[in-house]
Amino acid sequence: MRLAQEEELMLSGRRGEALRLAMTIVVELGRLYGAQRLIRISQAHIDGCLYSAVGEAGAEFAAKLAGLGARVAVPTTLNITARDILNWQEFRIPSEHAENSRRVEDAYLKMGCIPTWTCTPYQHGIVPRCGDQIAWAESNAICYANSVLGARTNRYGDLIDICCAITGRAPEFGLHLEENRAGEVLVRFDVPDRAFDDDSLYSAAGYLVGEVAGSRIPVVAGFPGHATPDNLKAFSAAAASSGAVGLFHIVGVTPEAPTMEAAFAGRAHREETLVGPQDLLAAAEKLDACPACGGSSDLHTHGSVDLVVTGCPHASYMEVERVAGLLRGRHVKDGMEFWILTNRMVAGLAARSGLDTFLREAGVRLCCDTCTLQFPLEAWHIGSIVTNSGKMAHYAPGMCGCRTYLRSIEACVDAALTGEVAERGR
Amino acid sequence: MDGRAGCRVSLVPLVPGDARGELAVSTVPLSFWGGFDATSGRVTDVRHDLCGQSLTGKVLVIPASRGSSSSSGVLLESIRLGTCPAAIISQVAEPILAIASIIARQIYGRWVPVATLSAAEAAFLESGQMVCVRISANTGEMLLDKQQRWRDT
Repeated sequence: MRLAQEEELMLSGRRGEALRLAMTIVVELGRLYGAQRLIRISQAHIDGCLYSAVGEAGAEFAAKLAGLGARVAVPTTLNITARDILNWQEFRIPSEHAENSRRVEDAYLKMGCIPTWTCTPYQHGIVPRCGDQIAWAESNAICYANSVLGARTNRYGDLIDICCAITGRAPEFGLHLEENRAGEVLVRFDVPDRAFDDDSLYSAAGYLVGEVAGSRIPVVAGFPGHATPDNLKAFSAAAASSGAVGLFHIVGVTPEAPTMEAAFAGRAHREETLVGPQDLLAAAEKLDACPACGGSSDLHTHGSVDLVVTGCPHASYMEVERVAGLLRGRHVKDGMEFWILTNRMVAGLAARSGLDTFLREAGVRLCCDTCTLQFPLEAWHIGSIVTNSGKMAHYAPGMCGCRTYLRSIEACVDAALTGEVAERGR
Repeated sequence: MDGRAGCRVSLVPLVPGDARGELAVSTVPLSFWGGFDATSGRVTDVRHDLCGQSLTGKVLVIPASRGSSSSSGVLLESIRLGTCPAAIISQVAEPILAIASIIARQIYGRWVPVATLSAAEAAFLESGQMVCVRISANTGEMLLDKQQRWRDT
């Protein structure tokens, strides 16, 4: 690998021990993947700041870098942390867990990262331009940034993200290179647009595409042209849960796919999957799962629930407003919990418009900076969850030990009012 | 597999290193975040066929990783705790699998070797077999352990 003079100085330790360590790791990754050189990145998004994922190893690594005086060289946003930073007690987060989370948060803030604490930096952070070279972690954000925005990042993981931010460099391989961004498999939807009136089917569609694609780049045709950024967010998150999808193209929707030919960069594709309405429903039903029966079960189509959770990935203002509109002043049933996961940017807007007061009076909690999957839920005695998020439905059975239902946002609000989840489509 | 005991499977190196252990083979991609508990070393993904099984000290063979980018953080923590697999062999060389090893080598001086193999070779492998894995910068191989087979029979 050829390094520029400044990069050699970092690697040699002459720019300090923090830069030597970070550069050693960036160069080693590039060497393993056959990168010819490093490229400058315009920004980074850090996922390694989440104590519940990185544990003491990640805490030690962050503390070591911060202790060596490391500073980020490019604008660097932060993904979720393991607690609601202001209201962790309201969410019954044990103080030891909150304290561990705080240690990691402090290390990243000391390095100059921006305290966005959100998994949707593409909606409420520093939004990259099409073609920008960036180093992002967080699977849903990587997938969205590459696909919907046309920025360029590999599927970076925890801890390499901060090394890229400190050096301002990433190894040039994979999705940073134009020639590796062409579609590889075609998934053709033959589903009426009105089927997507059920917003959870965008998650189901993403889940299905991720399963088909695995680690390849899918090209999606026949997708509703009216899909909103929030719909594409749900799709990205689900595709990056069932598969290792870092980039997809939707013909006529995403920037690198104005036509089918452009999406495949003029190359022939050998594999095509046709998706009909029944396939989409089957994918949605797969996301209704219980921990005990090892995934989905035919018997598990309806029942009582304890928690409604939406905002995975973090809810936009429009999504928060939608919940308020559906509640129409009615109160969440006694004994039920309704949480909207979001960030302080959206919560700030909701405070200014009065939405947060309206929701609080209706029995809905805004949970900021974090995710239900990232702190202990034992104190809540939750047995089952309903959500409109495919990502939440995929991970919750294993991580929270809860039965999980995937439903439209309308059905989620109905469940909050009645305590019962109806069968899909009723 | 009987006919192949003592056989050699060639690997494409990613992260060099040697390992010996029992095979844990799956045809389902695995996300370490949300699918593996670093404290216990067990698979927790209810949709995974290895769910409930310990991966500690085993040579894990999966078609690919999937899901979360936090997987490298979870793997690093499991390396620190000593609950990690002995080696990871995948059909796709995702950076997320390699990153934990690169960092663990820098800060703990120990790591999980990583390599790739073809789907055709993976199809011959079965959980429970003892194997040796040798991965250098340029070559890699997995040797099925004859002695283990003798013990079994």
